[in-house]
Amino acid sequence: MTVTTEGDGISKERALRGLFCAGLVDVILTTTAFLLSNSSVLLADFLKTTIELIAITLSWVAIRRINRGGGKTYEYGLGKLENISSLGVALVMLLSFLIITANSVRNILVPGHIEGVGLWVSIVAQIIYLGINGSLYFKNRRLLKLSPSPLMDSQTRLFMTRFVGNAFILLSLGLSMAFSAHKWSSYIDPTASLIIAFSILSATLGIFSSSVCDLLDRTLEEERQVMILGELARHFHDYEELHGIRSRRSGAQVYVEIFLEFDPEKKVGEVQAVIDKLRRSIEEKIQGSKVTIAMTTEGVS
Amino acid sequence: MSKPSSLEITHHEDDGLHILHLTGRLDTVTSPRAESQIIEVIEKGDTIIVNLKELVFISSAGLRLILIFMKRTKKKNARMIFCAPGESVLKVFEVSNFLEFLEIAESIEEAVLKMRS
Repeated sequence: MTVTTEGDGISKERALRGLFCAGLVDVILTTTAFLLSNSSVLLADFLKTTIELIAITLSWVAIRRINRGGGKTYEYGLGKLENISSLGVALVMLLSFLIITANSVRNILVPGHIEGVGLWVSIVAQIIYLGINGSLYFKNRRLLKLSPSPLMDSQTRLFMTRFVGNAFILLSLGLSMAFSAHKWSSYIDPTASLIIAFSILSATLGIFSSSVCDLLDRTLEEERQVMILGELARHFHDYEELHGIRSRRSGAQVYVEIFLEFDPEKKVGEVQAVIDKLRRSIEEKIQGSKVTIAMTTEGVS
Repeated sequence: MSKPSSLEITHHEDDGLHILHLTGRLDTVTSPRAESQIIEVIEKGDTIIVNLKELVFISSAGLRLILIFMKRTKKKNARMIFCAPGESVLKVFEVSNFLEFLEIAESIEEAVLKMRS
């Protein structure tokens, strides 16, 4: 229903606004740490948090546009704005991967010990974030065990990833500083930043493939097509002829058009009741589907 | 073994009884030709047996065709019996609720007996 969709959109917008504020603080801290040191890991951390902030900002803008509607011009395609935003983020991530990799390779070829006040700024920030993300991770994991849901699962994964990320950077900086007397320790920082770079690349490829697939209108999966036919079979005696089915997936939306012929002796009210029943049963079976059932007496290709 | 995306349809008439043999796959590629051929038979006859013994695969496009055939035969008060479907085809009929309205016989002989009775 429309009311539910708007409610979800507004709560999503509020959540993204909160994330934007938290992300902005994170970017200020990582920028300070990166500018006041010569660490490759802190460069990677700065780029990673900047990417996160860009992603949050774009999602926020996209959700705001969707919540306010597309007017008459984009009434059918505004949902794709989220996919286009994701592609933009993926491009920034790819650029970040190249910058971090180039910087890491340079520091491996010309090794040097990391130094600067920025290291201490980052260490303090990482300890604070490690505590926050760690407690949120354990809290969400406990809640997930009590009441499993996809949302709680994604939240638990998110905080676990952040917790591990904070621990990784802290460990890398700690080891580099603790063993600074040894020559080999100058390779810890660029190696750790290369690991961060490849984790960014892996995420980039995932976003690229899912966003591109969602942007293109695809044929509906065979399993879903069989489901539609299954519902038509279940209501076999309610209509006279099947003249055609058109279905496609556009982003997260599934559009189904069914062309049926009804007994001309039937009253409009009876035909409408059959249409409503069939439409509801297909929409219940296929998540995110919008089903249109048209009356016709001619074949539709 | 049948070639991928190929369907052979043979048709013969015996004393007003039309028997169709489907060999191969009934899918998006083969269904347009199958549609025109089988609709032609439905227009001509009132008793049709479709032998599915050699049908190795049926997709949603094939199911859509069967739904159309059943509607056409019902509209002209004709009768269509499907016989000897393989395990996989029968499973597809089962999960797609097609067994609720399809008339199935285990063999051609059984289908002929049903038609003659």
